[in-house]
Formats: sequence, C-alpha cells, structure tokens
Amino acid sequence: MKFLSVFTETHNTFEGQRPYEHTIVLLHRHWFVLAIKLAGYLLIALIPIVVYSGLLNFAGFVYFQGLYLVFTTGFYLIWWYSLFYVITMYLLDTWIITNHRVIDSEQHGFFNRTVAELSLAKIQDVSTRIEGPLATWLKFGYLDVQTAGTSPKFSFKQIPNPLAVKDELMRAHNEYIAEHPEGIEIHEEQGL
Amino acid sequence: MNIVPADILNSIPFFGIAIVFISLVYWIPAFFIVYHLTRFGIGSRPKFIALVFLVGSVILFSLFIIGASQFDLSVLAQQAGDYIKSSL
Repeated sequence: MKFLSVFTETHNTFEGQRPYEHTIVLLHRHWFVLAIKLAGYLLIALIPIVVYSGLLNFAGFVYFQGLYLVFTTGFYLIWWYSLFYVITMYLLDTWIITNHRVIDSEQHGFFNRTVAELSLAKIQDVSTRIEGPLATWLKFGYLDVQTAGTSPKFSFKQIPNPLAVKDELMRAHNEYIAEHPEGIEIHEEQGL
Repeated sequence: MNIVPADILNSIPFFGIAIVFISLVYWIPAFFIVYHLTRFGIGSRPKFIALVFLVGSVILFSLFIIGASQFDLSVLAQQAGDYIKSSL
C-alpha cells in the first residue's frame, strides 16, 4: 500500500527545501535530554499503582474500586498526551545543515515556532561548548555560529557530538565558497 | 417549588454532554500533536510516533469511556452509605 510508505520511505526533506539543495545533517537534541524527561514520566506513571496498593489496606476501598478505575484511566489518558507532547517538542526542535544554508527551527509550543536560516557564505566563526561531566561523557553540547554583521548568533542546543558537526559545517562552508564565488546563489540566477 | 421541573432535568443527557465535552477537550489537542508531527516532522520517525500516539489515545480513550459508562454513581452512593452505617 503506497500511502503506508510515509512511515518507512520519507527522507530528510523539509518544508521550504529548495530543489537544488540537499540535507547534509539533520540534528535534534541529544537523546539524553529526552531520556531524562521520559524517566520523570515513567515515575509519574507509577503513582496510580502506588496509590492503589496503599488504598487496598482500607476496607471501604472495595466500594470505590470502580470509581478509582475510571480516575486511573483518565489519569493515564492525560499522562499519555503529556508524554507525547514532550516527544513532539523534542522532535520539532531541529537544526538542519544543507549544502546551501543552516536552518534553526525551534518549537516552543503548538503555536509558537521560530525558524531562522543562514547562508553558508555568511558563516564567520564556529565554536562549540560542552558543559558539565555528563555532557562530556555523553558527548553533547552547544555549537554557536557567528555570522557577519550584527546578526545574532546561531546556536545549536544540546546536540550530539558538536565537534563532528562543527567539522561537517566547516566542510560544507568551504565547499559552498568554492562552488559559489563571491557568495552569489548561482542556482537562483539560473532560474532553478 | 423547583425552578426547573424534574422531568426536564431527567430528560437532559448529562452523561452524553460530559462525553462530548471530554472528547473535545482531549481530541482537539491530540489532533494538534498528530498534525504537528506529520506536518512539520522531518523523516519517517515523527510519522510513526504520531501513529503510536493515535493508536494509544484511541485505546485509552475507549477504556475511559467504557469505564465511565459502566460506572453507576447511585450504586456507589448506596454502597458507601451502607459501609458508613456498618462502621458506625
């Protein structure tokens, strides 16, 4: 069934992708950032079980078991929604490096999204920050891209292996400069 | 004298209204999750996660509705009253 292919064959294409560019790196925050939150949700999921085992000691609880079951199902419904809200926000915070530009897309809520992009030609300086023992051990951190002029820094937050990403970004930048002398977008001039 | 006659009160489907209200409160935000994952998610993983969320939501919501519909508050009140009387 062709419509099911969306679950297996979708490539790293994104909204607004130009026909002549391809994705080099697609980044989310490090898995550990999500894992910490999921561990918290796992603990919250245990609350109804713990409360149930405590309430079993009360003789009158047998009358309220039906009511407790309804409340527990409602609790898990809200829990399920909250869990996937966190996962959604994690998956929609993305940093994309293509062979033409860098795109920073951050989701702060359902109706609060910031998207910024930067041409590879405008990159002036790239630096990485790895803060703390856990980040050092698991190799995740920040990558800051300084642009020309007074534009604010581009910051890749809590990404895995920022040093390798920095190398990849500099390689893409050098290739772009070699292919596009004087920073002119030749594809758009060609009408592509 | 009652402001609202009892037969009118009895004819109002409170349970149905509550179910519609809870359905809207849950499924509108749930739609936002599915929409955001499928519309803005990059790659196949967000689409798969949207499917998992949808299936889980349908199962949990069905369990919640079945549980709520089988639950009889008047029986609970009767049983609780009996328990309180016996424990006094």
